[in-house]
Amino acid sequence: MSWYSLLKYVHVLLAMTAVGSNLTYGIWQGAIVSRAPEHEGFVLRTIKFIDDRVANPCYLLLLLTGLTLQAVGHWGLQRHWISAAIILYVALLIVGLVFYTPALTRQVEAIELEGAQSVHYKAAAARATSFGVATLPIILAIVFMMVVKPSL
Amino acid sequence: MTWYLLLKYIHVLLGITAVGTNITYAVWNTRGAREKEHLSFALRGVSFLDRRVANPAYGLLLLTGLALVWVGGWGFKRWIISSLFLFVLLIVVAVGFYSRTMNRQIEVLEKEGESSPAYQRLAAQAQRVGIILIVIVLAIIFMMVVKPVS
Repeated sequence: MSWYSLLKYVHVLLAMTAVGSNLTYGIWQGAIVSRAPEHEGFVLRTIKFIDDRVANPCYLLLLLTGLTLQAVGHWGLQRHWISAAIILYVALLIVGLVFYTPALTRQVEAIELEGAQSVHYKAAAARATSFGVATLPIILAIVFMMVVKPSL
Repeated sequence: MTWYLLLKYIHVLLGITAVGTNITYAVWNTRGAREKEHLSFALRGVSFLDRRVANPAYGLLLLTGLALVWVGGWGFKRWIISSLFLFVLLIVVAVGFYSRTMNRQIEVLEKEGESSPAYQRLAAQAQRVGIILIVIVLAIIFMMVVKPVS
């Protein structure tokens, strides 16, 4: 087994962890907590924990392993699917770290200070949901570039 | 884009959904155990994800995987046979042991409480089976990505 294959394996595992974790947020906030709204604070705190300690570190390691794979495998940055994936990754970082994570933090603060029925909480929840939804097409597009490698 | 690549994309997305969902179970269980008033809810949530998201995604992974073998003309190479064997093992452990243990865990938690010996035994059992499942999943992904044996 080559170093390239081993690194690719780690890269795939990081992607599964990061993206798969992200996909569960909506299910917990929608289908699961709607049946037991008294646990909403717990759900948000745990999602925040997963986002900070699991998903986001994996996304950063994905960039590092991805760039290493590109160097070790001599793919070259001039391939369009690699440059497109990097541009999409930067867009994801902006939406994720600059908008979604702070919005989620404010949502957690609002539910703990003012409760789930407060106007502030509802506004924070709507904001976090829109940013969360905005990350999804970007993630799907990055995975598409990585798997299909379209010539563009 | 070919049908093969489209199918591969769907296969990868299903893999991400199934495995990524599984990976979060440990966090929900640990956080639930720390905040005991939410433990039952956390276990029920994990059980919901397992039944409605992860397990259906695993089922579709098998179907799309077999379709990829057929469309791509791979044939039953050793890494594919090994993965299929591991997949069967995964289903046996997941459906036969993990889901059953988790259901028992929820029942015992609600009847006897978190500190009861029966609950503690089931929680430890679920944790052990969960670790075994993760090892099998890692091995399947290894076969799929590295294709170590032709």
